Amino acid sequence: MNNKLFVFIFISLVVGIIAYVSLENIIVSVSIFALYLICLILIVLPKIKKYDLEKNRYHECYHFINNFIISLSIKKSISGALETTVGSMNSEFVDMFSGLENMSENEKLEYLSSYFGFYDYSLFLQIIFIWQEEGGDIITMSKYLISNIRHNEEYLSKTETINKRKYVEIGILWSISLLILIVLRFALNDFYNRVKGQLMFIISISLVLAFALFTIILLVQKGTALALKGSSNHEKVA
Amino acid sequence: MKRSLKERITALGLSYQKEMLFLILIIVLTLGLAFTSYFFLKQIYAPIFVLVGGILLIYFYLSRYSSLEKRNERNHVDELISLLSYFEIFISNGNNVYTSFKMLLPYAGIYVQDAINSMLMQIDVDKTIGPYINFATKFNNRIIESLMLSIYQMVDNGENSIELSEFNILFNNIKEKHFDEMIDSHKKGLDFFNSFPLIGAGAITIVLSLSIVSIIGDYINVI
Repeated sequence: MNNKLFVFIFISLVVGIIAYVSLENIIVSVSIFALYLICLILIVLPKIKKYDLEKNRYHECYHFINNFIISLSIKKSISGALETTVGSMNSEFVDMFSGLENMSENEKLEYLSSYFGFYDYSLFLQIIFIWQEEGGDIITMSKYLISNIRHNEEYLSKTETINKRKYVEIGILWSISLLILIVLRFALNDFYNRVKGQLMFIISISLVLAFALFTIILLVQKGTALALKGSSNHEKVA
Repeated sequence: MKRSLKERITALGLSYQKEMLFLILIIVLTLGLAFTSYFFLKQIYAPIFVLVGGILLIYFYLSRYSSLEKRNERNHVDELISLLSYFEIFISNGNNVYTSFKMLLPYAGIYVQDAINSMLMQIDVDKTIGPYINFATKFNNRIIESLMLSIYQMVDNGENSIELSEFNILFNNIKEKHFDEMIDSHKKGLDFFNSFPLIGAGAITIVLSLSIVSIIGDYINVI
């Protein structure tokens, strides 16, 4: 979280400096710096936070379902499987779970559907309830569910890699584009001194820098859109 | 059968009145701008330029319905394929085809929910392949058609394990392909942004060139 904030301040500062070097106008440069900082913190940061929350929650859900099914196949009891699985989860989950002491095992499992919020978890619950009523081999019964959540896990990890690669790629391309501005500013110094005060020039360069910000917002919006069913519940869970 | 524009707009979940109001607004603004530009500039090229721009805008505005329809169709197929993963889970846990489809309803969006409901109602009175084919035609996709055929075969053969495994093999192939397509579409969606920095670089070059040309122009005028 702090790292992301630091990156956003750094990006805003760099763009602000580029604006100052190319326009030599302190008011416009500070305005561009402020615009970047405000948009990155108020628009981009919440999107990334939501994406991280959803992704981590799905990892937890995958871990929980997998461990629970394996434990259940060995211990043959819901309470035993639940105990083993909760012991393998992270501290945040254990803290949340310790607040459910007064509930029965089934109630605890049902309560977790509001914590995870994914359709995959409610399918898992249905399988567990069928197993409780009819018995059978839980590994065979949940074979397709496990394959389904493994697919989703793979989807998450692949899209995350693609996102990171694309963020770096677009970042480099924008850096090269803005470098052209800086190089020309020093290479054509005489012309530049005459141009820098023109209103049209100031507006045009500011628009280009605003366009770069627009790219960041759209890119993050597209990159953080996840196709996990039922995941929209997450804002209220957080 | 060709549908009217009103039907198409309503089917997309948009308001026909709002769409038409916006279209009229574009037409009025284009005509207003064309008259104003002629009034101030006294040149015929300006209104022609504005009118051509306006016509292009109207064309793009109206043609967006087709792309919205295509996107909706693709979303419905995507949704159904993920729902059929759940169907596979229900079937493998001893539910029959009818009950498994019924169990999908809470997870489905409005369009797919309506399609399933209508299929289930048809199955109540018609035990042939008809309802399954009718369901598949709502998705306009050959993959869905072959999946529904294999589901019907499953019902027709008493939902035995051989037919079930045939459905599983077919569906798993489709699921793998669909997964690759999802990753590919995510990548393509982000690739689109590669052109943005190039547009930015182009804009910077144009702005600087125009500024320099205007200064050279000033020099020439002084000389």
